[in-house]
Amino acid sequence: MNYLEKEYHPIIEDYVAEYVEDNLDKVERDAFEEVLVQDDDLRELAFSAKEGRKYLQMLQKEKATEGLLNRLHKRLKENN
Amino acid sequence: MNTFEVSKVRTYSDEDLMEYFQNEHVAAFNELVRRYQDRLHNFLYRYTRDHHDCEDLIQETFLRVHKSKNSYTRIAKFSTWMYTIALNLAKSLYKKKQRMYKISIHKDPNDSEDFEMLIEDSNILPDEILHQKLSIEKLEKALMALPEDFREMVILRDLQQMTYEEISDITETPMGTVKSRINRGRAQIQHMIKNYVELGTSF
Repeated sequence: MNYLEKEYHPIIEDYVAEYVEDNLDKVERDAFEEVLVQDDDLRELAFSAKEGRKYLQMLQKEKATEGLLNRLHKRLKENN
Repeated sequence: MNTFEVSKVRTYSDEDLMEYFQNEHVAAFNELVRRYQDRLHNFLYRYTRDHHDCEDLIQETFLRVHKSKNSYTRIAKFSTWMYTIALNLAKSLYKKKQRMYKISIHKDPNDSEDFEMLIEDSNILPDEILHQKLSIEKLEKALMALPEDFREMVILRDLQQMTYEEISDITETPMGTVKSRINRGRAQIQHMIKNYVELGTSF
């Protein structure tokens, strides 16, 4: 994971973020992928980040427990 | 500002609700709790991994919103202001728990009753569900293993769907650093679990 020690220009970091989130249009994406072909570490960063984001989206949404508002108002009363 | 109408409470913006709450309309506060309780739970659970602690933190966050309502000004987005409170509370609890954990792992060698207990799990799960459960657990652990600065930003972006600008405001970090940490945080997650979950398989 050499990319962890590397610092890229903010514009490159911006491109990685946009690439990972599929926000680049075709021309930009093709151009950026040309850059990725030339830089192994940057390519690993971009591809890994893209996969990592997919995994994170699999995390289930946790929900607040029923009756939170009532319990909150009880605490508010106790505090006053 | 228009007169507050309970029947329209769900149509007001967060910032309008705060202003109505500043004018003592409790229904406006209740609506903010309703809007954010699940999102906050989802956010804070990543720090606590305990639903009870998580509820305590949510309550504490809203207690502070309630107590400090008059210090809120419309210049800031309500969610940014509230998440800043929640994040600070979560960090404090996380540090406190880490200290407690470090203390609790030292068992007393002079105490004959201080021993480990093995508890058998009688809930036998089918393979697929078990794999899914283990994978999610692995993912949760990978997230917890990220450096704190990386984790909070990844959570705010990928679990809370906040904009980079909002994350920059909440964490008081330059935008370039936010993007760099999120990029690396995501990549590290992938690296930590790549041997565990095959690409293309569903959890």
